[in-house]
Amino acid sequence: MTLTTELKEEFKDLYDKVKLCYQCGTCAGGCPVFKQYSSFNPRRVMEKLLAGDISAEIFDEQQIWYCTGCYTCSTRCPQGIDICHVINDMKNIAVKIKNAPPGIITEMTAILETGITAAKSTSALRKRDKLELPEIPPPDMTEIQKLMEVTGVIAKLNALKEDAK
Amino acid sequence: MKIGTFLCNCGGSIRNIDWDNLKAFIEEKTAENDNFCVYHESLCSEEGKNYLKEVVGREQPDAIVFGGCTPKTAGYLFEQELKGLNISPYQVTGANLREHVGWVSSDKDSATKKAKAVLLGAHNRAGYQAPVEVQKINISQSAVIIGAGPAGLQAAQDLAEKGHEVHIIDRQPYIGGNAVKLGAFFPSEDCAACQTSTGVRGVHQSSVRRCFYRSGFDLHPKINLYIRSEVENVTGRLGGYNVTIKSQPTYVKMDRCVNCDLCSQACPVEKPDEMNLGLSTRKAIYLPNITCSPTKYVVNRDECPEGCTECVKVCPVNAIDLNERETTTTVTAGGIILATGFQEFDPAIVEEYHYGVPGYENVITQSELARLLALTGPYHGKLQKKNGDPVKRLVIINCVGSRSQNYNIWCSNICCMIGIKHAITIKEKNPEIDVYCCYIDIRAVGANYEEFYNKARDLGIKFIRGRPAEVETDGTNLYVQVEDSQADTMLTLKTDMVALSMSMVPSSGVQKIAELLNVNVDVTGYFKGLYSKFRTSETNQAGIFVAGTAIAPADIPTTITKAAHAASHLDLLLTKGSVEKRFPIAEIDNDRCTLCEICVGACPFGAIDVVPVENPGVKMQVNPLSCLGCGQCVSSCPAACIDIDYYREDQILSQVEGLLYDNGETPDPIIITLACWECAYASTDFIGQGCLTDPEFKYPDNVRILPVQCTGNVSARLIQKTFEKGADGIIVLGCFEDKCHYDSGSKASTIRVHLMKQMLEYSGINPDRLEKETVYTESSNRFVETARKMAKRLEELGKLER
Repeated sequence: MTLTTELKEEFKDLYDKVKLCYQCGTCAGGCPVFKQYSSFNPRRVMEKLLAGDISAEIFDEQQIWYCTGCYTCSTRCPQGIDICHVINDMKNIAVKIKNAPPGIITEMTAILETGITAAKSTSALRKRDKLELPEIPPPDMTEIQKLMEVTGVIAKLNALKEDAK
Repeated sequence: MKIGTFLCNCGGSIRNIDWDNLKAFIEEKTAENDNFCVYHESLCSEEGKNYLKEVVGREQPDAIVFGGCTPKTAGYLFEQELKGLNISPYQVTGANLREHVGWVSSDKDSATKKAKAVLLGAHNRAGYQAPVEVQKINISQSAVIIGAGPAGLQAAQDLAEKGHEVHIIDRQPYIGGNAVKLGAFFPSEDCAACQTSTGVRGVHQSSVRRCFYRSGFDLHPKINLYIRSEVENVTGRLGGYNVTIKSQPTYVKMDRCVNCDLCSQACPVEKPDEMNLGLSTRKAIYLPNITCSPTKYVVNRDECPEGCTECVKVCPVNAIDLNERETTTTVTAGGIILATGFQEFDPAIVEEYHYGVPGYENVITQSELARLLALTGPYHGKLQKKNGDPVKRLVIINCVGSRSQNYNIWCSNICCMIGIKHAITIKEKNPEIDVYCCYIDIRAVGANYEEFYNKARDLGIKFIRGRPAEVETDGTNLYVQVEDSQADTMLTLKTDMVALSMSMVPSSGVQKIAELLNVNVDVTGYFKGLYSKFRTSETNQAGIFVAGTAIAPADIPTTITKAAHAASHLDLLLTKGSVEKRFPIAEIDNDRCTLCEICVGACPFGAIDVVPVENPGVKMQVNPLSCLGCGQCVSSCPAACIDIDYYREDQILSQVEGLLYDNGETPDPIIITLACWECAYASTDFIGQGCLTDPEFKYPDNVRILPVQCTGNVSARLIQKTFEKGADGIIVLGCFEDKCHYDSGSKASTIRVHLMKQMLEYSGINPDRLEKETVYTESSNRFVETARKMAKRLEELGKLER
């Protein structure tokens, strides 16, 4: 697909953020997702950006949406690249060019309605118990909804829903 | 003052200028004081030279103006030909009528007009020039070397063999530095502790290679070795540095000790052994290493139990004196070599490899692995885990702390090869041990290094392209998480031991020495060589050199080469016995000085000393040998009390006045270019030359150039006064900021011009009338572009209203 000038600019910004990458693989080696799903490789994502690969393919679900945003790669990258942040930027571009996976509508709706994306698992709660961590307070829904409104997330969600129809 | 003007047509090649007109003009303009002007077709021909000598001998001028080719070439001619004629080369001022006028200007009319201004400018300047004194300073015939690793040892030996007295200092109680710990060495695959012998030990007087301890280094009559010593203080300057050395005692008399080990056996104290990086223990009285030199026992006195004299009691030769005190010695040196070496980066800082964390005892550094593999090491060369189990698999991780924006941005140069060396050593002894090497890039750049790398692959060492993300443990085994980026797969390597190739960082103490000696340190923390291409072993301080890994990480062959380079340069200085300082240097008018000390900080060569005097307490004094006459102090002085002969402000302004001469003939605005005498001036010559064949090089005739020593010399005041004199635009033309011949001059000037532009705006002058440009000859078209742009802009802005 062809990209608008504005998106080309955004791509340029992304390139500037990753241009120091020398493909050492520290990001992939420590990525908890890559350990489970070999199709998501953060080093490969960086490689494509470095090569100037600006086709829409790069925004495919498997490529970037598996990133959980744990920031392990960003912490360890020897070249100081905030990989997680770059992937986040890419997710935003994907939404702009209407290439986001349908699953995010469900996820965003869940946050809007319940304040959480996934229910507390019993194993996680057991672990918390063991570590003597306090109980998780229920999310403050008024605050969350307010935040989603002022940051424009709700508008984006509605647009996504509209597109999905 | 009688000034003689010599005009030369360069064999007829400066056709653009009407020489008769020019001669008549200057004769008319400078008719007073018996001034004279002569013309010759070619002054550098044999006939021309004789003519020059004859005229100078007959007329005896006080100063000479030469109008012809660039002073860069003409200067040498005059220097040679005027010898013995009672006029110094500094009395000659060049008017560059060829490269700056004749070859650049488009037609005869404008060329002659410009030539008049250029010649008049030079004439004005010559009128201000007083003779420059030549100073001679004697150099003390000895050297101090700080650090006795491979670099220090090589430099010391070279200098001692040349006959200079050498004082070499090391913190450790032995010589050899880090190399002593390394065991085997690549690519020669022999001991690291091996170097050229001084040939003074025993009956075999040959200079074959020998271990440090057999080399006889400590016995060389010209070498004074100070072990367990540090530099306490340094005073003085090139020619005579006074270095105060503080030495801690070893408590054992070198000449008596016979290395019988009885003292060590009797000692009740057990401490971790530094030589083996704490992997084994030693006593409070111990031999640091059996291959070290001097091969004598030493006592760590602060570890002795109160009142214990067990060692003294058992010593059969009465060599131990526990009451020895620290001594302080002051030596004089003509020059100093800094060979302070490197240390390993702290591996605990790179948290994901868990070095030093309980449970990760088998995560070690390459230095520790070197000790494990060394026969003199804690396990006598056997590769085993901390608990004594044999190692079946080893993973080497390269680039730990190197090539990183988070830690050290530099490549540490030798870690790839050290890892490969260790892998080969292990594989050759125990082929059943599995060795993995995780790398980002293998950098095998030295002689025979690629062959060494090939050998490693032949032996079955597995190379994985990927930087491990993490080292984990389950209590017994270690697990290395790494992406094999050539196969796109995630690997979890189960292993017994992990060796980290740590980054090389400057020795601790570099900062202290840098402050003591006023020597520049790079952003990396290493000592900064004077220039990156050549003079790499010199520092910003004349007479202080730097060798080996004190400049940057390097392997031992490079370290030795660098050390020999530093030694040979210091030898040149010492052998001469004295240096002549010929170039004009900064002079401070102490009556007007307000003692603000700004100049002290502005000087990149530390040439300005704050000297105690009775009244008013201190004064600023320029050290003539350290001063290079760049003028960065001049432009920084708020009291305007520093000047450099030959580049004095009034002198430069007088030339500006001449250059602005137009006699109402030039309605165009005039642009004055203050060009640094180094790359910038050379570039303008280059442009002149280029104009002969390529009109692309031509710049407008209203751009007029005069030299300054460095753009760092151009003060805000000079810019202001140049505008006052009548300049409509000013270009400050310097060298590239990082390539300034005087370290920081061009950078300082860029900042100053930037600030000055703001000042101009405040005073209602368009800041576009002032520009800074940087060039070297290969990029001299940058000047042409800037000059054209400025001329075009001034066409719109018009002359500066005053």
